[in-house]
Amino acid sequence: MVVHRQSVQLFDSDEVLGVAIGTPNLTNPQQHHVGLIYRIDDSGPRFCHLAWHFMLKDEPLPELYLWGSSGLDPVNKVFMAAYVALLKQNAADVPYGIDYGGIYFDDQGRYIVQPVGRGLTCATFILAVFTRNGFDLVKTDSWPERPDDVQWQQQIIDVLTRHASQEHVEAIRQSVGAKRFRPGEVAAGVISENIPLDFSAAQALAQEILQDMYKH
Amino acid sequence: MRLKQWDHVQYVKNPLVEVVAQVRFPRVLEIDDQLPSDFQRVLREDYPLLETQEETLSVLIGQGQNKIMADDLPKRITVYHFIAPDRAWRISLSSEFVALTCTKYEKWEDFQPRMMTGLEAVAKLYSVTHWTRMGLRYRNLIIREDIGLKDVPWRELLAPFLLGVSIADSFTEGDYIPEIDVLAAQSYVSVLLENCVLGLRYGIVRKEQTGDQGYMIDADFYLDNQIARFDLDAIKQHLDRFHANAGAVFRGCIQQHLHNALGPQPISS
Amino acid sequence: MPTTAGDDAFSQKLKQWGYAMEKSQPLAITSADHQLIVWDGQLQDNTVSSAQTRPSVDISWFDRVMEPATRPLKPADIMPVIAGLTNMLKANYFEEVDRLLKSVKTSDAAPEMLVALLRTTYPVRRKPLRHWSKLLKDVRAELSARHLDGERILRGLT
Repeated sequence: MVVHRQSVQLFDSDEVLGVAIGTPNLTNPQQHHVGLIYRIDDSGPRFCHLAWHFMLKDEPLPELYLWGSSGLDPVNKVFMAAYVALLKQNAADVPYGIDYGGIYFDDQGRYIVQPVGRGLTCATFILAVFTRNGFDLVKTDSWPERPDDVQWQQQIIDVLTRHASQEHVEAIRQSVGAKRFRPGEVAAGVISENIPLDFSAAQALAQEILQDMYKH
Repeated sequence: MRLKQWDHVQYVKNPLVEVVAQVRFPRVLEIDDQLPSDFQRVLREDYPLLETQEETLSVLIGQGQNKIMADDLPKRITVYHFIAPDRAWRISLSSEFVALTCTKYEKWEDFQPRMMTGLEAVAKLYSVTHWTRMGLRYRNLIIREDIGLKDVPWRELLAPFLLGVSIADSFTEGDYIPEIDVLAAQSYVSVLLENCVLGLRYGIVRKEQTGDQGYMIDADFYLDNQIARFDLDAIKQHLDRFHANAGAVFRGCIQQHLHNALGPQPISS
Repeated sequence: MPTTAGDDAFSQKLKQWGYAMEKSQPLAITSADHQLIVWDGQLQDNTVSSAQTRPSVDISWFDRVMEPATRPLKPADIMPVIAGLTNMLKANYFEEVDRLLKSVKTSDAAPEMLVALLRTTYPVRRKPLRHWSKLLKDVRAELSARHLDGERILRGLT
């Protein structure tokens, strides 16, 4: 098992950093959501995730999410857990966007306001957070543009029209067809000890994650 | 000039809001270059809190609109503030000075040893050999409401020379210039005393949030433009002499009514 | 130049008060501003040092960096260091951060603290922080001396 259901195995007190993945909408089990799970001291684990457009959340881990331990060494796990715990102060205004590229955090640690239409997904938010601190979880250049991502992108944009400005939505439409870093693939990057993962390695580990998710 | 002497008193309703002593010396590059961790170690027990501040100094020369910067680049120095837990005391260090600030001043016997501690640490750790400016500044803030003098006009509380034009009653058709009509009044005068220079800033002050009015008497005793040996005993004597002037200056700036309202308690010399 | 400790006031009470100004006048005359000095009756507009001070930044968190760790550090132990450094970067105190990095005694600090210093300042390592690379080198050597996997701990930091 590379990810664990909490009912079977808790994110125990020795763990400080990991990834949590789940299906936020049980009526759409193919739509996955991912975020970082962390613990700063003896209190319970927290779930930091980009829930939606301008909606960065930091909250207790929802029950139905599965978790996997970070593949970083113990020293960096402690650092990244501390960094993630402070994220809400520095990155509160993150828009949703499907095209990942560029620099997302400035030299003062703040999220850089992107051009209209640019932003992050729940998965690329994790990539950006790790990259800011010197960790490339995946080799972004090795990612292909996949035709079956287009449908997902169009669907998500349709949902976004109810939450974002027309300007933002119209700009995002220009990015349809862009590489998509799927939640399972980014989760693979978080739990792997051998980062940065190229596309095929990420895909393989993502498959294991999905199998664990659907096992129960 | 010799100051008129008054009885030494301590005021129950102390108008002093801040007292600062500072000794400036030729720039010590070591303090710019490295954190003063040894200095901190000496002070840590009494001043465990640390804050830093960047100070940009630009020297302007010329007059009026023709002022220009003397240097192309303003110099920036870091000031390290070592603060006591009650935040009433602070020793400050930069590459050009050491200073002690107190916000709850009661007596010189409390203040002076702390200043000497800072000076001793600087002398020992950085081998400072000369000082260039030394000052001791007493900042008094008089708020009439706080001392039960709410409706008493300034002209009954302060020496006339402080109030200047605001009591130039010959300006008005009425008997006197109403206080409410005096929108702003502040001055600075520099006077040579027997053993130092007195820079006296004074005037009406307002509380930013409420617009309440007070009066500031800010007496700065100093020696400037010196290249004097950094001899701790000599410095101590200078500071003692500066201090000896403080009570007399303040007393000379106020009238008996205000003096009484502040609750004077005699102290032995 | 008046007697100061580098700022206009330390007293919170004093900070709330300013010389009353009539509205059409420019910004309040502070103690570091124009001084007309009357000396032997002659009015002089003297050379003035105009000290523009920036707000103080708290670096008391830096003490923790040098404290020997008596137990494995938790993320909560590192958070003040990350927060303190981030606040300084936000306020553009790059020179001061650089000086902090220079002052680090790597032999005294826990690995988590050293990593916190390096990774938090990682985005600005090139230009304003001249001592970042030296610190990285020293940390690498220190981790090696402690028989820790420096390659893995410092991965990605170039």
